[in-house]
Amino acid sequence: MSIEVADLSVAYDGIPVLRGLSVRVRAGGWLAPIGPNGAGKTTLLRAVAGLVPFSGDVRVADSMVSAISGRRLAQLVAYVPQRPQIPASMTVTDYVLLGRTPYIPYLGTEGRTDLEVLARVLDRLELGSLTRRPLGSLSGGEVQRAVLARALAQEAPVLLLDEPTAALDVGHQQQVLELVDELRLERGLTVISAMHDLTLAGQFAEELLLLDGGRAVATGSARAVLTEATITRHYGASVRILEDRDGGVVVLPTRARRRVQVLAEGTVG
Amino acid sequence: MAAVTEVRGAKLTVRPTRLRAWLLVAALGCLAGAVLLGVLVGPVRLPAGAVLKEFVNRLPLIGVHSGLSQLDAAILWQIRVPRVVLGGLVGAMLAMAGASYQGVFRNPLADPYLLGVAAGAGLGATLAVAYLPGRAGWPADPLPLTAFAGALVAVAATYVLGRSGIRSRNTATLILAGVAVAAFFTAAQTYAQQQHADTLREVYAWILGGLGTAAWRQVALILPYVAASGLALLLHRRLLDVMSLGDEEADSLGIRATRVRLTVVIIATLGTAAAVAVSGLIGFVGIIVPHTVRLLAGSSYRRILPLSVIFGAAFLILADLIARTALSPAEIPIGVITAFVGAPFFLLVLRRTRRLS
Repeated sequence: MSIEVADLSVAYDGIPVLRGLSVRVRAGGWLAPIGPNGAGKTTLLRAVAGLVPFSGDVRVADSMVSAISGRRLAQLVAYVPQRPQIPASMTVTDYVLLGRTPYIPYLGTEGRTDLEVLARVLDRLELGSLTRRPLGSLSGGEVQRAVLARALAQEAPVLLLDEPTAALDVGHQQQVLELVDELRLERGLTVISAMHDLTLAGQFAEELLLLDGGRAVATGSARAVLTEATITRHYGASVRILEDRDGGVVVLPTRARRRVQVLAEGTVG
Repeated sequence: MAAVTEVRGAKLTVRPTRLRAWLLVAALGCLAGAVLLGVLVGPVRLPAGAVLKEFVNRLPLIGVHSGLSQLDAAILWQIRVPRVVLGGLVGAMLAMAGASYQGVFRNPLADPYLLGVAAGAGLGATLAVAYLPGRAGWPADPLPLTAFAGALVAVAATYVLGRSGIRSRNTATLILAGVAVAAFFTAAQTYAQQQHADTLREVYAWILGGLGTAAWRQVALILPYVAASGLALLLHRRLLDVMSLGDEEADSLGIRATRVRLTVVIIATLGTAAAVAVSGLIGFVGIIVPHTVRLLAGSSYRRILPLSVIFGAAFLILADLIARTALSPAEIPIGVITAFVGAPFFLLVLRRTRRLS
């Protein structure tokens, strides 16, 4: 399902965090909002998930996010926050089953279909051998798979991920993102994932959206957005952009003596 | 029910945590034991066989002669049984309310007593005794209602004051807010009580609590509240598991976390206030019982809530047994017994949660 964001503004306690943002993601596409801390990446995800009041328009397929019920929205959009709450003594099965909540009557319990979806998701994410383990006993990579499984159990066509690789080592970062990409192609999911690692963002997302101070400052392919000038300007970082053998771009942080000077030019949005 | 689903040729069995039959049977066995002890033990020793026959005799379509004397039968049916039933109802309610508060506040130390519910109910009850002198002639005693109103105000105050703690998952803030609210309400209650010294006796007897005056009338008074509140809380058991994900994630699953919290708090407070209105202030049941259940049966509220009902009832029946027999013929207030067990238990839970977080 496509996502259409038009003139989106969000303020927390009167302080604007997103200002008039517009962006479109095609059905089955992958957009990665990037940008320095506080740029508004998380807020964009939360607005699409209907978790913050906003002005402007957010549409998932043809539904206005602000006009449909929370339950219906949860059937369309699955949201994984950067630091999900992990109840340490809950079993993997129970945790993933919580993803079926939008389909279970308010005071009811799960039915046959829910358990079937649960079994398929656990199998797909290779959690079959961990079903009865408490979450607290899992490794970081396993926890991330369980969290992803919970989101998939929602059977929502849109998947929102906030820094899905933040707590993982480089190997698990790649595995998780490969998994997300496989699932996207298998199920035709539309993915929006806020990313800190620019190289990974460029390698996996179809399109990058660079945010700074709550505004979109650049949109497009990795090659178009990830330039030395843009990154220096918006992150206040000094980097070199290298060409990957496969035609991708690598963002390499460098130790620059000019750093002080760059900051002095005023890069804080 | 476990689903066996065939995925890619292999069978994968998924068994969500639920209340299994053997757990339920074991728990009911414990309760039956506590009930039996509760009705048999006392200044007058009743023979176990005859008492069992009396119970069987009450079943429809069965007529057995128990051989109990008329006096013994009166002791059984007018003194022991109502006291055990009342203790069971109060214990079940306090334990379930404790578990529910812990679930919606995501705080393992939440307990009706510590959240100020008891102090609020105390103030409400005192006001009824002090300022409604004619209430004995009323068609319905307003005391449970005023106790309920007091309890609700106290919980609301604790919630508002401890809010920052809920957001930051700091377990201490909410409890500290509860302590402050309880102190304030207790002060107001003492003031009202001293101002109407003539009511001192009635108020003080109520506050010390205990089931010493238990009779069927009191069972009838709280049964509707406890039954309705208990049933409604049990219906929320799966939602309490969803709440363990935090407000934002619960919202993203289509649940309105703040609304669920408010609903559960109102329901649990209604039941607690009714229980406290007849039993007086009994602390720590809401911590001891749910945590013991957690240790035995895991952290899913689908087990914690129903098992807390059963073990809560058993626990308070036994606590009451100790209260009335330890210094017999004198009675120790039951709150003293629960605090003896509960206070060390509280520290244990505190240590555990500190380590986990």
